[in-house]
Amino acid sequence: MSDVPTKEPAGNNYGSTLLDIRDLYVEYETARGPVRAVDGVSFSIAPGEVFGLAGESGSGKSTIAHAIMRLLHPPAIITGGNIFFNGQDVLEMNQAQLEAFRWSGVSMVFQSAMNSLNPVMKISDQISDVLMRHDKKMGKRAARERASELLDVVGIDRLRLDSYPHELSGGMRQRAVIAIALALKPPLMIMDEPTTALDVVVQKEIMQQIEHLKDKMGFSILFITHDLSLMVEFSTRIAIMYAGEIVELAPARMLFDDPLHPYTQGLMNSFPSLTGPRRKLTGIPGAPPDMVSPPSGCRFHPRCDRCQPMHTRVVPQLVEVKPEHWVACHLYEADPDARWRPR
Amino acid sequence: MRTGQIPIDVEVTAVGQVVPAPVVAPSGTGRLTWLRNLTRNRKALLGFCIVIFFVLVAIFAPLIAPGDPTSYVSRPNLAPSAQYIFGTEGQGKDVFRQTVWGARISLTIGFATGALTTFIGLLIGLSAGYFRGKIDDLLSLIMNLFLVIPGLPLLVVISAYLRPSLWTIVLALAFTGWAWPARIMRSQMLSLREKDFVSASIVSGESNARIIFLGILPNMASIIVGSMIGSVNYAIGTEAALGALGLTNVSDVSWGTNLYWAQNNAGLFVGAWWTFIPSGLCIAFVAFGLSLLNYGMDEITNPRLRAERDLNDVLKDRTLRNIRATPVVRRSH
Repeated sequence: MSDVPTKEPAGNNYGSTLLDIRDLYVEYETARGPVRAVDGVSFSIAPGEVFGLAGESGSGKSTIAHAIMRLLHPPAIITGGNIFFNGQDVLEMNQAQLEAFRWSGVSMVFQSAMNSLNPVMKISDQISDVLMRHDKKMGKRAARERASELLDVVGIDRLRLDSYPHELSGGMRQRAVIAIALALKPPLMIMDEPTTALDVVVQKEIMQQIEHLKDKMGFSILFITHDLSLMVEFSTRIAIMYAGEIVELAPARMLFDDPLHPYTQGLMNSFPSLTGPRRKLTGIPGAPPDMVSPPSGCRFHPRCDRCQPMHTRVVPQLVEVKPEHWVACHLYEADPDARWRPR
Repeated sequence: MRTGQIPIDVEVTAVGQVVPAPVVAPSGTGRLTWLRNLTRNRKALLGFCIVIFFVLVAIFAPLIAPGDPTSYVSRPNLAPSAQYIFGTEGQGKDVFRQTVWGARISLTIGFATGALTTFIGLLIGLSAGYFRGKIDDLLSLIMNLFLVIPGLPLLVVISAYLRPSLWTIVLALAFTGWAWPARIMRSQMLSLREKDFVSASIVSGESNARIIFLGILPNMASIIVGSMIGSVNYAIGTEAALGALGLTNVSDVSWGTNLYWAQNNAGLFVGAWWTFIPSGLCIAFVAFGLSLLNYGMDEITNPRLRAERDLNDVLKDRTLRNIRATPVVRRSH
């Protein structure tokens, strides 16, 4: 590991690191040339942390999540960087190591949780499958017993053990998926839009349950959503992505109270606040960039209302402008003391 | 809408997401896109060229091999020479003329049967899948009946019974061949009709015919094309089989009857290989071309297959392909 961060906020203030992504590049091979979906992204997640990854569709959030488990389908290629999980590089793992790492190291609640359950298998069998696959010594009965414990944990009645997915409501299916993600007690859980398909009441209920479980079991969460209000509420730190890059990274409260990057400010102005004063909603003008040939300089410049000529040529670096608050924007200058402060 | 604040091409949803209006990418102009896709896919292109080659041969037969293919031109069983490039067959007819002219009937039967089979298959399969219930039970019963009857013996019986001509062969082939496409169309229809857009059409009061033909049918385009190509292939092969058995009109010139005459005149016995190799090769090539076209179609219409192939082009290293994980190929940035 290099000691001086090149482009990234490498450390966190929590002492130890569970997942450390450094300078990750992911490209999709297309007929029009490679599309760089993730462009030199670095961040780290501490044990017990909820790390939020936000950004509009196509900004690379889900690509990062899938890259961590090396689950991206063709034509995706990881073209650079490291993903250290407990010090071991996921990108260097062979098939056997990957199989051991997946699900027992990092588990995932997929974007369409409704569809990630097999419609022709009972819930109990789907949970037992995971358990018995990773623990060859576990018998059918023990697995079933553990499955019912897991359903208890996520708040589903044990009687539902022998139900098929279509017999459950959307919220229950989501809980069942979370139970499967918890099955092997992984230190990190990736939640890719876990509640997007649910109504706000169930959404809140499930998020609170997840938080409760997290406090009890002590796992970390990589939380991906474009629902910023939900994210601010549940995350410790948040990274905002735009066009494959992290443009701002800060503790949740700090980001919410004082967003620095014009894009983040635009996002914050795009949803109404329930408790704050009434204000006019403003969107972000323009459309996401074409990733085959992204804009030069700062990628946000075509949509930015504070753009200056220099910004269209020079790529801004992600720098720490306030303690723990990182921004990649020409409007701000690095805090000269930041780098020397001990982490 | 507060058009004063929000630009026209941005939408803000209830949960606070900013959704930009879709930007239409400047893509190739409409109808010719499929042709461009076809030429970009090596398999499909090769298959397409082979098939087109034989179609052109059939169309321009009078120019390529002028003269009546059934006339006696020289002594029987002459080996290929400059004058008769494929030699002559057991009765002294020109094999080159017969091969070239044979393409006409073989391909006509092939494409006509392919179209007819697909049409019947569509009609019955779509009705069964769309209306379900009693109609499906009845139609499925008939389909299953036709699927379990062995095709070739039935064909032999039918062709022997009917007066052999080009169109009776087409009818006989379609009669025994429609059940398989129908089965495919039915299962496609069963899954497509569950989609929300079909429910939406029903609710908005569209007629059944409109939903089936304008709503659902376009979604099945790739399957229909694939099944049609398969049917053409089946028809050409089976026509050759029937022809070789002498069950088609033996005075017609087709690749099948060429084989029949070669066998009847003991071509194999006297060592006149040129009497059966050309027609046999033509059948094999057309089948090969159609199959390539079909596989290529698969890749063209299924983006996932295409992506996999593109990726394999990039990853020349074989070891990377077999691991069940996203490949890591380090590049300079």
